[in-house]
Amino acid sequence: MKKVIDRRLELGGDKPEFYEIFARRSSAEALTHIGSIEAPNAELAEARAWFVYDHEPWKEMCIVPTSAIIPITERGSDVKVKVV
Amino acid sequence: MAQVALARDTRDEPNEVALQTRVKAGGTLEDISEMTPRYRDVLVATMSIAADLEIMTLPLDLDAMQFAPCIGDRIAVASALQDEMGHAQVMFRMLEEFGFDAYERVFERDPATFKTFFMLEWNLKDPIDMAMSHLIGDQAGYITTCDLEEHCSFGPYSRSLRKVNFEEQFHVKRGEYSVRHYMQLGPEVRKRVQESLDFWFPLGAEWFGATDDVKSRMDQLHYKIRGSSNDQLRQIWLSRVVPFCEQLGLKVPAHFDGEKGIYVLDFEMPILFNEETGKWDFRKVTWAEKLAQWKRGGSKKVPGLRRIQSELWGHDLW
Repeated sequence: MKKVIDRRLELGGDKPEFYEIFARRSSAEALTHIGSIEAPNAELAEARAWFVYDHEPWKEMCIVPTSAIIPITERGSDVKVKVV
Repeated sequence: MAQVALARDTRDEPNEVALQTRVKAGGTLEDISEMTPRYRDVLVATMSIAADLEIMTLPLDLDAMQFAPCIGDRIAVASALQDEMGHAQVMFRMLEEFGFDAYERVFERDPATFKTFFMLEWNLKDPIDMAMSHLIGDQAGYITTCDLEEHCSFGPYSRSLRKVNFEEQFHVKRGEYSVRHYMQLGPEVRKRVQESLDFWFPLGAEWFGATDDVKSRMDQLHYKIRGSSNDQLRQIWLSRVVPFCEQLGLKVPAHFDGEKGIYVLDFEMPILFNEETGKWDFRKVTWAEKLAQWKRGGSKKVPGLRRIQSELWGHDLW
């Protein structure tokens, strides 16, 4: 039997939404782009950021919807921000 | 590094030669627009296999959570599995940039078409097998991904592996710790550890693929997707696994050749695994026969992947 998946709930519709993850280990370290994840909403994005990027006990971590990023050096490129 | 010499058949393709020269000089690519179609194909194939291998660890190691002998062991296995699923997320996220639908790749694709390796396609029988899987298997995987992190000419892939390798080293350490522990539990347990190693060792040796003298597809090296050849990676693996096992009194079909100054296998690759007896037949066969066995795959592959695709999560998962 195939798994029954509510595409809207778990995938957020047909087009994937991406979020960029930023974190720093200590107050002396710059906030750094550490990765990117796909999630249908901010709440799941938060959970997935914790799940995937738990290799450090981060001092600070935040996520930004990729759609909010305005590229400068990459203006015109297909990729707004590199995955890592 | 002779393997990174320019590919012969690219003389008439200036773009390919230019790209190979650039990466050979240490240049990195940051964007798809910088790639030639051939570079892109080789890179995507490499990343797709890596992603599939990460996914395959879930059905492979799940049983080990059920039969873990203590809560500490269970937490260790669960934690390693969480790492692997995180790595899969990272790999598939990267493939999405290349136009892949991660959901389709994991949940809708025919399980038989997943590019997993023979080493990850067998049932683990007990906690000793799980420990051996970390000692032999994760060590092999770790050596492969360390090479990619160090050499891969696609910057995002190389950078993404920092986190992956940081976590993989814990799995290897956990394997070493556990095997050492089981070797202290008396002759019966030691016998079982040896039996498990007898199964795992050739799987680990062949993880790195065909020997360099027969390998024909060298594009990964020409494009510096990775830096070391199959035999070079296998040598690193042998130099870690063989002395560790020997120190514990375990027998391995390999030894250090003092004259050559390298570790060598006591058998000639390729050899076949006898699925009926569950033992390796150390007589040399042809690569065509070996490839056929790899292609048929292990007994866990298709049922394990199908379980991921069909098991019901329920509506209130989140």
